Amino acid sequence: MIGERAPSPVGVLAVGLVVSAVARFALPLGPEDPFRSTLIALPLIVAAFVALGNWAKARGGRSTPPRTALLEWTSLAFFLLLVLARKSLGFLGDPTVFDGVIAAGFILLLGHRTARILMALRPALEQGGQKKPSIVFFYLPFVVYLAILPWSSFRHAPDGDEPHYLLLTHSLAYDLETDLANNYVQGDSLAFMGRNLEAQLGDPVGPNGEQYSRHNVLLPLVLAPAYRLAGLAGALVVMVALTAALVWATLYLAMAYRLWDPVGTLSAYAILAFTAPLLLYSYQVWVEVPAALLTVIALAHIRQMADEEARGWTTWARIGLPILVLPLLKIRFVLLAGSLVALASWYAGGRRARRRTAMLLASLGAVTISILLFNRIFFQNPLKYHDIDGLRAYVQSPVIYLQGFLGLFYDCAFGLFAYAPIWLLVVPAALLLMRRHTRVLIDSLFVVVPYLLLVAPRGEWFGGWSPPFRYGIVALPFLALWLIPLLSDRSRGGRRFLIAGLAAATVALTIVWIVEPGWTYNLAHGRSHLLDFLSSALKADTARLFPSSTRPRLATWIWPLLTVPAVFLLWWAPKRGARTGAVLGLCSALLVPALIAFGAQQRHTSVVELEDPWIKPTGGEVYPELWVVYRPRYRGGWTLPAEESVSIPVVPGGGRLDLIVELQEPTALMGPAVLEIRAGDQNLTRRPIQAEGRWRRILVADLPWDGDGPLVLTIRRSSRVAEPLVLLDRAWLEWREGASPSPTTIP
Amino acid sequence: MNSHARFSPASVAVVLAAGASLLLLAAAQADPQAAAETRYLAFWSTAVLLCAAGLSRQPSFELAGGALLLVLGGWVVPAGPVRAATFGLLLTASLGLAIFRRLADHYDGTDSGFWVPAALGAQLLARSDQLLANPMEPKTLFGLVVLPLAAAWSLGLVGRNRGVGAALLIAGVSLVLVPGWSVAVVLSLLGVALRVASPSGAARSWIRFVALVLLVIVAGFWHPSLPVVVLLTTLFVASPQDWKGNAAVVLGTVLALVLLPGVRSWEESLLAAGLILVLLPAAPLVGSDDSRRVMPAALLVAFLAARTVPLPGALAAPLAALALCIPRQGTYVTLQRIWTGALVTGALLLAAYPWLRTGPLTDTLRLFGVGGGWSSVLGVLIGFLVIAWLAEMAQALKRRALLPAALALGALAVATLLQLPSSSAYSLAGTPFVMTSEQHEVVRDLEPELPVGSVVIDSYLENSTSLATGTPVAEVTLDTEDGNHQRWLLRVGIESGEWAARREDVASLEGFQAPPPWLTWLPGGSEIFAQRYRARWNLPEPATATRITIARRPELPPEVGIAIFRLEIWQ
Repeated sequence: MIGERAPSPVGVLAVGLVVSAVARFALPLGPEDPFRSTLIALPLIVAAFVALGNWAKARGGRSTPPRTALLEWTSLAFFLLLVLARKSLGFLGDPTVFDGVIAAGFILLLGHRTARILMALRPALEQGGQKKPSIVFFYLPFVVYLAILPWSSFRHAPDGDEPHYLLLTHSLAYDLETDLANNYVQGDSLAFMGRNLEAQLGDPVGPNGEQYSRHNVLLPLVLAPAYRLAGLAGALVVMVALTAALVWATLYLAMAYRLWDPVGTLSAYAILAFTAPLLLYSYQVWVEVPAALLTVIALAHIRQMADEEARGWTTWARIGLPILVLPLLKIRFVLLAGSLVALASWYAGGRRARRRTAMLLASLGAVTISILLFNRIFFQNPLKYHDIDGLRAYVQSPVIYLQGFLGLFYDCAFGLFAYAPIWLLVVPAALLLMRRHTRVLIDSLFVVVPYLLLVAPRGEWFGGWSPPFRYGIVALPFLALWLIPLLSDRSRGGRRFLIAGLAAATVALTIVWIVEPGWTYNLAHGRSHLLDFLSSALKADTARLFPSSTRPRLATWIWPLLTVPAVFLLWWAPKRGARTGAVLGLCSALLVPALIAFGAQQRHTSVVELEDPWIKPTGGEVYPELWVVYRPRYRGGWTLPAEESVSIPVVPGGGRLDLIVELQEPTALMGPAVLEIRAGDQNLTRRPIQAEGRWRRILVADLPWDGDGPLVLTIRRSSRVAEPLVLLDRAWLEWREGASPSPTTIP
Repeated sequence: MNSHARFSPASVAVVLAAGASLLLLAAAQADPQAAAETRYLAFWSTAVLLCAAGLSRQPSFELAGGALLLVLGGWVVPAGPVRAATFGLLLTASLGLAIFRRLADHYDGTDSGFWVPAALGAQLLARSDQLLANPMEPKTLFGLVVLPLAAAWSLGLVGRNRGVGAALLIAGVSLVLVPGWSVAVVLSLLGVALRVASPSGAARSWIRFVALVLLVIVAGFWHPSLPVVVLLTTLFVASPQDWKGNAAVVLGTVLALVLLPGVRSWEESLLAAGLILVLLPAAPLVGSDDSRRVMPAALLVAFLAARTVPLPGALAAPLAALALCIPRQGTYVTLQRIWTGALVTGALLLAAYPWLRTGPLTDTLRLFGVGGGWSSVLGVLIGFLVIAWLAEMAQALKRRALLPAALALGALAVATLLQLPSSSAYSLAGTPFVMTSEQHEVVRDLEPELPVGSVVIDSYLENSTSLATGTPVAEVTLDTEDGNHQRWLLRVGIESGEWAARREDVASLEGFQAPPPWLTWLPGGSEIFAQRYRARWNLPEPATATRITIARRPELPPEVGIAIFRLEIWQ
């Protein structure tokens, strides 16, 4: 209303804080309730959104219609009441299922509110003449990340490198030193997680028995004050702030490159901030996020230096400081730092500027050498826990590089596209940039490619035990930049098809990742939690339809070969039919799971990984054990003892079958075995297994198949004293037509 | 008038894609029980979303969002009551949002393109159990298509003559009675609609007269007392009344009360009539001429309906008449709309799968603390008065259009909060166990110092149709710290019942009775909804319990099984 003053944001936040404080004492939910922290934080989050909405409205943004706002409040009240009443509804089974559904409801509400705020913020992007984006573009993702933090951190305790960073933080905060020996003994990790942490294999040990962390101390130093004040929550809030700052800094970088289209920028901003993988990293402690932030800040200042030709000491300090800090976060970030220095030198021009670049390069060199020397002196290893032989491993074949690089984007368990398919749009975006914004493309590639070339050929290219796209996080802001010019024009049919379909899939998957954060941590066995869930429900192998660079298969190569040209074609070829395109895209997204099921169940079984969850063993265990270090080194399989079986649901492709089973024989001590092959209850044949401990392929040709029942492989003892343990890896099934004769006795 | 086409090919395509995705999931699922449920959910979702598509303009984010979330829920949430309840909520929300947005488009109530999909969608939610039957069966078609169409026609007629607000209010209060569009409700609505439709020309009047006569005849076939209720309502609904008209209604009601056989006691009938005050509390409070005229007549006829007609839908006629006298604007009107909306939402949710409650209106009212009895009626009226007064005070300070609505919703939320049970202290049965003649006892030692206020058991019976209603099947014993024993009986048809109570050969047994279900599910390969039941026993005063024992009665036939799903101790 004209003349109506909006309430002060401070006042609104104060009210939220008071209500949160009251909720902390008044809520009838125990400390083990997954919603307790969320409901305590909720009044503050709501107040923050109200303040954001008022801010946007005061600057010309479209306010939410009152009825819509009333609906939102009603929905919020409904979900709150559902949380309080859920235990009395009488649902059986795993209570986390219903909790997850309610959480999804809250997420939908959060998404709706965020979308409304984003639309209201559009005028803020249209206002020209700014040197930096408004701080509200920091606050919005900050509030959203805070909203999901309580639920996500409750559902998934610190994992991967996180607890080790946190223990180091704890040691700095309380002991003011980095020796973790006492912290391990005292069980200080119980302050932020449910188990007593132990030192990681290869962690440096000091000359007097000190136990140090392999991780650098810079990030824990930043987290320590907040950790001291508020424990784990305090540390995570700092990470949330860093992630939100990264999103804001990306906008800043876009301004520096003059990539400023309100629609495209807002869309790219939303994709970067509110989808995987950045959303998943927002509430976790990983160095990749601050590294990306430093990279973006440095590059933004480099661009400003180039455009404004401001090359004073202040400018160089703004460029140099983030660059010099990068290797202190993690030594491998020196590659990013080096690329940035080179870029700065390129844009600097002039003798004086080149002198300053040389000084920066020398400083970077000095910092790097200092780190190496420090490690050498204190940890007896310049690389702390890596070795030079490991570096030589980077002389790999191009196929390995390609596999790792493709895996960063396409892998079903760790790839960017598998977690947020909307990022597939970077494919046409790259082509567009080549034609129209070459500088952005070149600068981006120049900064990140050397770093990605380092990580791609590694055995743990996927980042180890971590959320997806870990090593690719530093590239994410640049990919978001690429999307800006692409998304500024979405009027064609094919574009709407792609955007609608990919966005629908992304929204659905984002809800899943927030509700089940544990599903974002996968083992390197060629599958993912989501695919395992589908496979178990369908009793069919869905993983084989998706690419994997940890267990390469046909799909690993087919997906890029098909999707890249398809996305190009769809983006540029159909010129009309925008509305039809959007509808078709949405319908395609809705039908994708059905297509997966169809593909998994209709295509005849040809390759079976015997450790997959859709195969039912009667005994035995997975090989290697779940938490083995560096899993891709091992052939995954299932260890089957005597008199136990694996039952494989089979989609037959004919009446006769050639079967090859790849297995490791039992050792001589264990004794030989017999592999019994059945089709359901019908015995087909038996094959002896020697006790030489070697890997073998057992070929059984021309087995009859009636089409009923699963394929059952059973290990039998060949003598009474034998206790064989056979490692079954894989089975190949080659089908042929032809009627099966009547069953005969076992030869 | 909105220029975007409704029921567009695009909307239909999205809905069909969602349905196809779920159907394909059903075809692919390995677990037959999960597959059966998924198949049912696929049909149900497609049907309701098609109705929402008929209401939505293009582009419709609520339709697209609803379709996406349903597919996501179907694929990712494990089969069972949680998934089914999620579907019910999503479908109710999708239809509700579509109606809401359509009304926000300044819809004037004259377009049948609104009422038909709205009525169909509501019926599909209220009678979702009928979708399990063969859809081509006449009974299913009649219930799911003919009745809603007739209701839509009536409401459209009312909307054209008295405004969309009145028609929506009538639709809301009629929907919650049974729930859904029953024969009695539809006949009542038809009668009222024909009476209020503006005559334009003698021919139209004759047509209306003939239609009314036919209606009365059909109603008479349905229940002999129903036409009397409808006729008496038509006497006072349409035009200003003088003392002769009022006298006719009073005389007619008295005569009918004397001549027609009673199906409820006088007290029960009075209370049932009081329900119309609970459903339309704005009517007596709004103080308009119309309401003063209509109130006494409506209450009388409602009393007659409750006394002589066993069908809950018979109250629809006096309710509709009362709803027509509520003005189009004002604080009380807003409160009434919010109240009706809340009741409709609750009733539809509880009537739908997996709850399939037989008395969803009663359950919904209980959620808001309206338990029954005249104190509840007074409570609702006083609540309305207080909220209206607060709203008007606040509006006098600063005018905000939606303030009354916000206050009403807030009051409902608080009322629900106050009704929430205290948190369950204990859930003793993680997975169901079946008590048979071999395993005839379950004993659980309780945590020390466990205070107990009530005991809850979710259960069902197998092969119990040979047992008379009221036969004890199990004894529940709670041992307390002071050495006392609280004993309760689990009885057939009262605290528990046959799981297959909906099966025709079981339901048609003479004397067969099952208590209202707590939750239902779809057994694999079955074409009926299985049911389980909840029994709650309260201790006279809270005590500290040490042990609970459930013992199957030894005299039961060996084939009778008692499946205990859940055993809870509440503080």
